[in-house]
Amino acid sequence: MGVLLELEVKRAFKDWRFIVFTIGMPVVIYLLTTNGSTSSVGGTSVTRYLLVSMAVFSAIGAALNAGGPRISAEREVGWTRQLRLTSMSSTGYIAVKVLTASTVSLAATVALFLVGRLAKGVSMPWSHWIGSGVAIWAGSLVFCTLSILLGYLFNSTSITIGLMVVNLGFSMVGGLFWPTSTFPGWAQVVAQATPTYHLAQLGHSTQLGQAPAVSDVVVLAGYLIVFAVAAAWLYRRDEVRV
Amino acid sequence: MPLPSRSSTLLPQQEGFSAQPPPAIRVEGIVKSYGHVQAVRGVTCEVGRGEVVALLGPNGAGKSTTLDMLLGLVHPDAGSVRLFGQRPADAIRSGQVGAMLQSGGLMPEVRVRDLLRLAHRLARHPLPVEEVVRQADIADIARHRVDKLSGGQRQRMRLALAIVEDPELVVLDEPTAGMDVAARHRFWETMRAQAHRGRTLLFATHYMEEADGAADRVLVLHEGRLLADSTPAQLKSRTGRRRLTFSTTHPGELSRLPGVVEVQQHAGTAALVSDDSDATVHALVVGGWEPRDLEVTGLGLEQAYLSITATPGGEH
Repeated sequence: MGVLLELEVKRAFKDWRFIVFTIGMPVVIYLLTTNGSTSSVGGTSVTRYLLVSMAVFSAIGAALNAGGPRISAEREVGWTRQLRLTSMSSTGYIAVKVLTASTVSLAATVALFLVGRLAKGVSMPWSHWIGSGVAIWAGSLVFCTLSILLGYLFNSTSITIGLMVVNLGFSMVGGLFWPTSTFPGWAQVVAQATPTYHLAQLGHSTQLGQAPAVSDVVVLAGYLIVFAVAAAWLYRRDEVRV
Repeated sequence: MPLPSRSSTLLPQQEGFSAQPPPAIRVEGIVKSYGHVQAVRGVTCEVGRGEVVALLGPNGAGKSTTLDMLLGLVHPDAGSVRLFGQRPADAIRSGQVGAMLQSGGLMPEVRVRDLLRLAHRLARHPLPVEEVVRQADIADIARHRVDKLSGGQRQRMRLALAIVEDPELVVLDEPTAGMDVAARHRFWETMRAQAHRGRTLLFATHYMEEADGAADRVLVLHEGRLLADSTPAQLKSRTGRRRLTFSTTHPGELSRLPGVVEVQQHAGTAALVSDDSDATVHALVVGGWEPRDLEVTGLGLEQAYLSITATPGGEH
């Protein structure tokens, strides 16, 4: 399994267009939206608040794009079939995909934090940097799993649009682009049902050095379980069909 | 009747089980339908260790489905498959079986040697990498990216993945599909070497000459059933038809000659297919056709195959 993971991570990072766009876009959005801003939001400065929002956006974008598209492509060319003729177990294959997506997602989080620190001069105690970084990274596992699910749900052509809808939909509704406090009442209710909202909350509270709220962790864990079960079911369906 | 002594019967009986190791492949009455389409309608066969067997059939005959069931990728609706006496998945996991599938793709975006290294590390008792490279003849493409390989190179890479475990049985589904003539020739050279190493080979093909040139035994699959199980030579001799070619300037009607079932004529040369070549030749000579450069040849496996698959029910 170690060799496959090594090969997959190498493959993901070697694809520079993928890396530049997945990690670069949130960075650009962050730099543009915080440009010249001195106002404050959520009890902290905009540059610091948006750092977490964009780190979450970056992490989930990386997680989503690093897993599913390759799975749907590999299903189409039959690589998953060929792997079934080796001693590699299917659980191993999926675990490697989740870990690869998670590695890219970590890189995306770190990249955004570096931009915040170096380009925008955001300063926090080290423990807060690490606390929020780890919280965002761990929470993005939900999206790594969602990405696997989408890889089995879509084919390699339709997954592009599927990912975009899921990524932007969850990001906008979950309040990564605008704070949910600016939303009308009903939209706030919807926002609080999304995993992105809770992941962002997790990031914001750990950024301020607070312990993560139990409700955020519970909701994210719930999503993780639902996505994992659905992915496992879709995987079995795929295995029987091919 | 005296009771047999322990040493004389009980032990040999036990040995009887172990001295006769299970065959490489034992398939019993496998059936598979997809919706209303019956892809495989009851195939039973056995392949011994070290045999080289061709599974011959037109597109849609059920070859791929049969091989999928053989490898445990598809579960038969009925019937059973045993490879070396074990369930297919177990035989694969223990490294006794390697396969090159038509639908089995290669991991994209990586180099040949990286993919081979991966397969090598996943294998239970792998051959040394250099040995796989040599046997599969991929030294020249080791640095190439998998997605940039030509059809023939891709198939050699797949073969490398199939033999990396040093398996006793290699199953190949149309291994030369998409290859040009030279690549096909080169590939079969490699396969003959594989057979010489004592590997059991089962390959599906629709190229008669491949079955003819490489296999000890031919299984003809048609519409989901096995229509024949014999050697290429037996299969060919089953049809008594011959092909006659010659030049002639005689203006007569060739199709009137005895035994003739098919006539092709171009600019003074004629090609006939005859049920009774002796009678046809006799009539040509006596009838004043003055045939020159006369050649009489057997029709080969292709015609034999066509004559079997054209008869409903085949030999059974």
